[in-house]
Amino acid sequence: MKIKELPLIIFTLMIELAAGIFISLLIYQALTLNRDAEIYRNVSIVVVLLTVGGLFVSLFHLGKPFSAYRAFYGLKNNSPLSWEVLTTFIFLIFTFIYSSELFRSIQLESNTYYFGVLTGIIGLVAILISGRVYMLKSRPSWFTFVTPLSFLMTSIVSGPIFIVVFLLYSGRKFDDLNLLGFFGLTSIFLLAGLIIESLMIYYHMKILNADGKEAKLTGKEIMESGMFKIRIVIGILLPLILGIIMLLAAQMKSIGTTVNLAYIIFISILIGEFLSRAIFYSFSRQMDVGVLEGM
Amino acid sequence: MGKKLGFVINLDRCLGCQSCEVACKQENTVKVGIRWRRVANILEEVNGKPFEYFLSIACNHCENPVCLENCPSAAYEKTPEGVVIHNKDRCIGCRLCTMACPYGSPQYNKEEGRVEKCDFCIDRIKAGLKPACVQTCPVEVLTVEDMETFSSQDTVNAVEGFPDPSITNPSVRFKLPRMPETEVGNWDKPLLDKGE
Repeated sequence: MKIKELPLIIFTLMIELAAGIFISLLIYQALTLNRDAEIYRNVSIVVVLLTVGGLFVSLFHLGKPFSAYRAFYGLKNNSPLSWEVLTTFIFLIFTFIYSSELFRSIQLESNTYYFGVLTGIIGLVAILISGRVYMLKSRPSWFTFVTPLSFLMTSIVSGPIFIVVFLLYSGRKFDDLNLLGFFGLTSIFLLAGLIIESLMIYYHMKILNADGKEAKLTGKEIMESGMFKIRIVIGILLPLILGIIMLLAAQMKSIGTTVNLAYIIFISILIGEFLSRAIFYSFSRQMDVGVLEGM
Repeated sequence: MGKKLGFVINLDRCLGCQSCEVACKQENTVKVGIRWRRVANILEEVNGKPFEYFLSIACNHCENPVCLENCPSAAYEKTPEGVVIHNKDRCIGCRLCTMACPYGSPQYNKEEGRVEKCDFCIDRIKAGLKPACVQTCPVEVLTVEDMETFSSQDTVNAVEGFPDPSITNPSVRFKLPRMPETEVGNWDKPLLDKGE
C-alpha cells in the first residue's frame, strides 16, 4: 500500500511532537523545580522550529499553496480545518513569545512559567481540534473517539522521551538524583502511553469489525498490512520492553544503560508514530456510490 | 424558482447509456478523469437471483452539505435555489471536501490544483433551461424538482449502493426499478408490474 498524504502525516506529527515536548517541559519544571532559563529557552526554540516546520510542510498538501492564507476564511462557517490552522498559529505565537522572554533572564520567572502553562493548554487544544478535522462520517474508520485520542497519544508518548534525549544531548550531567528520577518518571509516562495506545489499537479494530462495510474493509486491510505489523513491533513492543528495562536501570542508577536506551526508545517511538499516522491516512475507506471494491 | 432543487432519478428507466455523463462533460468542459455526473452499476440479489440496475449520480446539493461545513476557505455557498456551488477562485485545493463527501461529488483537478463539482447547471436553470444531463437523457431518467413541494410517495431517499442519507440529507429521490418476480424458466408467468 502506497503511503498517502505525506505532507499531512509530517505536519500532524511535527505539531503533536511540538505540543508534547512543550507540555513535557512544563511538567519537568514542576517536578524538578529547575529554574535555569537556558534549558527552557533551548527546548522552546525546538518547539518553535517544529511548529514552523510543520506549518511549512502542510503547504505542500495544498493545490494552491500561495493561497493558503484563505484557510482562515472558513472560520465564518466554523470549519474545523480553519480552527486547526488558527489554533496552531496561536500556539506558534505563544511559544515564540515564551522563548523570547527566556532570552531576557537567566532564570525562569513565575509569570513566564504561567504563560507557558497557557501555551501548553493552547497546544493541547490545537491537537484535539486537529483530530476533530478528521471526524468525518464519510470515513467510518476516522469517525471514532480513537482519532483525536491517537493524535493526543503521539504527544504523550513522544514528548517526555524527547526531553530526556534533549537533556542528554545538550550535555546535562546525569549523575544528579533528580535527573535519574526523571528517567524513571519518563519511563512510567512512556509505558502508560504505550499501554493506552495498545488498548486503543485493539478497540479500534474491534469497532471497525463491528461497523459497516467500509469500516470492515479498512480494518481487514490494516490488519493484513506489513506496515501495521512493523508499527506494532517497532512502535509498541520494542519501546515497551526497552521502557521497562530503562525503568529498572534508572532505579538501579545504571546511567550508561539508561542513556543508551533513551536514544533507542526515542527513535523507535518516532518510527512507530510515523507508521501509525501513515496507516491512518493510507488505509481509510471512504463511502461512495456503487458497489464497494473488495467486498 | 423553488428553494430546494434536487434530482429525481427513475432507476427503472435508466439504460446505463451514460449520455448524461457525456452531456455534463461537454456542457462544463470537464477534464478527462473527472466525472461530475457518473453512472454506477448496482448489483443486488433478488429472490436469490442477481439483479442489476444503473444509478446516475452527481452532486446531491444536500440540505446539510459537509463540503460547505468543512471547507476552510469558504469556497462553497448555497444559492437561493438550494444549489450548492463551488467557487473555484476561492479553492486552495486542500481536498478536505473530497474526504468529507459520502457521494464522491467534489473531485480534485490535479492540473489546476483545485476541486470541482456539479453545479446543477445553475446558469441554465436561471435561464429557464434544464440541466444538461436532464435535457440529454433519452428516456427521461432525470427530472428536476423542488424538494420542498415535491410529492415523494412513490420515491425513496436511499437505495442499495447509496450511502446513508441521514449524513447530509441529500436533495435526491429515487423511483425504484421493478424487481423480477418470475421463476426461472417459467416464461409464461408475467412480471409483476409495479411501474407507473
